[in-house]
Amino acid sequence: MSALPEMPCRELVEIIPEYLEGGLSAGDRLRFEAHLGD
Amino acid sequence: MQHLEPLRDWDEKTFIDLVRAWHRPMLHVAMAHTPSRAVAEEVVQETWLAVLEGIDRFEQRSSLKTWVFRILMNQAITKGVRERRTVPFSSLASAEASGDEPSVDPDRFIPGNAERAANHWKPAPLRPAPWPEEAVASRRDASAPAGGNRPVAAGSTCRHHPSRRRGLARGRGLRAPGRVGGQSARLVARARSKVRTSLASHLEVQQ
Repeated sequence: MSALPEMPCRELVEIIPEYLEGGLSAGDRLRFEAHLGD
Repeated sequence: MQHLEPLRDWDEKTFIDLVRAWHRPMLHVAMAHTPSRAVAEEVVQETWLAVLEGIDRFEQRSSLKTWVFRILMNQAITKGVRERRTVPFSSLASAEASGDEPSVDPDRFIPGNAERAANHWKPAPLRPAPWPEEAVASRRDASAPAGGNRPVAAGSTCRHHPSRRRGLARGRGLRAPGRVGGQSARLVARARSKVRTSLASHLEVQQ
């Protein structure tokens, strides 16, 4: 299983609404939360 | 004044005849004072309503046509001024939604072709404290009752974000914007970004 690519800040700021609404795919949600959890 | 008495009796045929005869010139006059044909059409309709409501007060100091067109002018000028002052929210939203405008100014990020930390936040620019968000928070705290809820600052809280580097507690920076979904949520996020940018500029000028 390959590691998920890191989510850069620029990408994160564009998908905050989708994250808050639960609209992200499982992979993107993990990338999003990994970014915040760093 | 052949139309006056039938009009006062709300004679339908007379009314229709007048509308057919005067609608086009009335529309042209209204369009000269309003921003669109749609608004001008509204003005003409409202004028006819005003004519019917006020026909009993018509004192025949002028011709019926002059009186009607005077009402039209007043309606058009009033409506035209009001319409020009109003920007429909829907037009702003559609303009926002139709573009590919980023939520945050791209200059805030390290270029995508950089060797390190590509597309992450740039280091915080050197500016005198307090930072805009802190300045607003301190002003708000000074006027807020002790123990009250303190709203969190907007923005992400990743490790690269300038607020992290300034030592703000994690979790202060991200809060759900209520139940706003889909495209509306994106518009809210962009609006926040624009407000934040404007606020920063405003506070910079004050310092």
